[in-house]
Amino acid sequence: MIATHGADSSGVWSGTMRVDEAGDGNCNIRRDEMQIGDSDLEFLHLSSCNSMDANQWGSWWRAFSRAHQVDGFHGFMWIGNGLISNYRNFADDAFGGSISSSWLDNHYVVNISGSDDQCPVAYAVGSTQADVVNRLLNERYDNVFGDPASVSWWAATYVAGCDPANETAL
Amino acid sequence: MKKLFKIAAAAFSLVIFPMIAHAAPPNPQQKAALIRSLDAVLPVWGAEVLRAPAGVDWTGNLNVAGVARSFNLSEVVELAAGAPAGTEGVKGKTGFVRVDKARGFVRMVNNLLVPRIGATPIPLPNDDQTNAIGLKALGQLGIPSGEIGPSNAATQMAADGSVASARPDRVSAILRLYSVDRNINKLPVFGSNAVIAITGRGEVQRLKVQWPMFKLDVPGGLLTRAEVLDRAGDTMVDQYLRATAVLKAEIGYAPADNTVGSPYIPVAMISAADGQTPLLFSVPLTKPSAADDR
Repeated sequence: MIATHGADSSGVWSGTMRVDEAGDGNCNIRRDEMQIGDSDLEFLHLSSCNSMDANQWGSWWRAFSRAHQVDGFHGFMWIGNGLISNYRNFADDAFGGSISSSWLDNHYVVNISGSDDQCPVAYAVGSTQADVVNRLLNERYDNVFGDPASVSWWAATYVAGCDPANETAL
Repeated sequence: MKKLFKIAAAAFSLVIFPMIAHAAPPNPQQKAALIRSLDAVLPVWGAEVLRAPAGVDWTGNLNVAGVARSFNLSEVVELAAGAPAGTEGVKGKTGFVRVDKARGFVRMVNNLLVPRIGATPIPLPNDDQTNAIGLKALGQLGIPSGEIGPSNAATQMAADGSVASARPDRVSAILRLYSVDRNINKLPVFGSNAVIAITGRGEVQRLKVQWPMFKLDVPGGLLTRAEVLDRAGDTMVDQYLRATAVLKAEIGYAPADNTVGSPYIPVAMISAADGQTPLLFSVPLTKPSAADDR
């Protein structure tokens, strides 16, 4: 899991620190500089704003090397003490149900700010349309599929109408 | 086993980049500006926030087998029968149930009801049907009806596409999602809620309930509005919020601390967004007890 401030930089998720380090050692990360799974990482979870905006779905697959799934948020996501347990529950649940449904159920919050929703998105890749959907809806921490034979299809699951800050409604 | 360990290790490698690198320098003007902004949106509260009745202990008779039986997970019922008493989680090929009574947490997943995209779709329940099925499921668990707050019916979607196409090739409505918040004393109980996924046949495919036992703890009486604003101001400065941050606030209840079974206290829940990751934090409306050194 990576937790960082996030933004949509011309259709590419980028993560930065709120406070820059003195000098030029600032940490940052960008989707178009990632090859996820090169050392056998299967799943990556992004606790970061705009990390899985709908306009990025058509290009997120480019960052997949041997990874299976990346989960993030469409629009802004919130941080706070009261939200930490949602990550614990997600991790617990992903051993019994699909990673994607665990991500949605533990991070989808209607009116989190009083008016904006929090909109989780789970995203997978696969070699065929049937393969990617099967991976998205059935892969679990205790039911890990083999690496995709190729990255030819992507699939995302989300909540229709979810309306976050800093993005349009899904 | 080694493979599983490697996967788990990778999945849980928490690479948390520090969002705040060092303590914020004192800035009285910034704090004053933030307090003025918050004062404009912070609702008024009174002694009525101290009069919340104790919640119903709905988890008293709850167990894994009972939840599995309620939602037709026969394999899990059988597995639970052979598990030690007090087992919190049972997992089979067809689904799993986890019951954490101390945290008021229930999770149920029926893997046999995972939708099959591409199969002939069955029309999903409409909003009224979704709400009715969701309410029924909460009732089956024993959630007190008087604590059920605002609900929402939405649809879980799946979109897929070839990497050769810029847009999705297919978009499918796969499940209805009923979500509900908890209210006590006509106020929200923050972080206490439920989500239920419902199939086209009206079956519960999965549910998650976070509904801890509610007991109010107000040993020290109410703080003044000025005291609450001042505490909120300290937090906002500590979090580097800019004076132009967009603030929203709501009065409700939150756990007094992060311990399991924590009592609840009345709080102002404040949302603050200033262009970076928005923050959700609570400020107690009550004074801590003299013995509380947290």
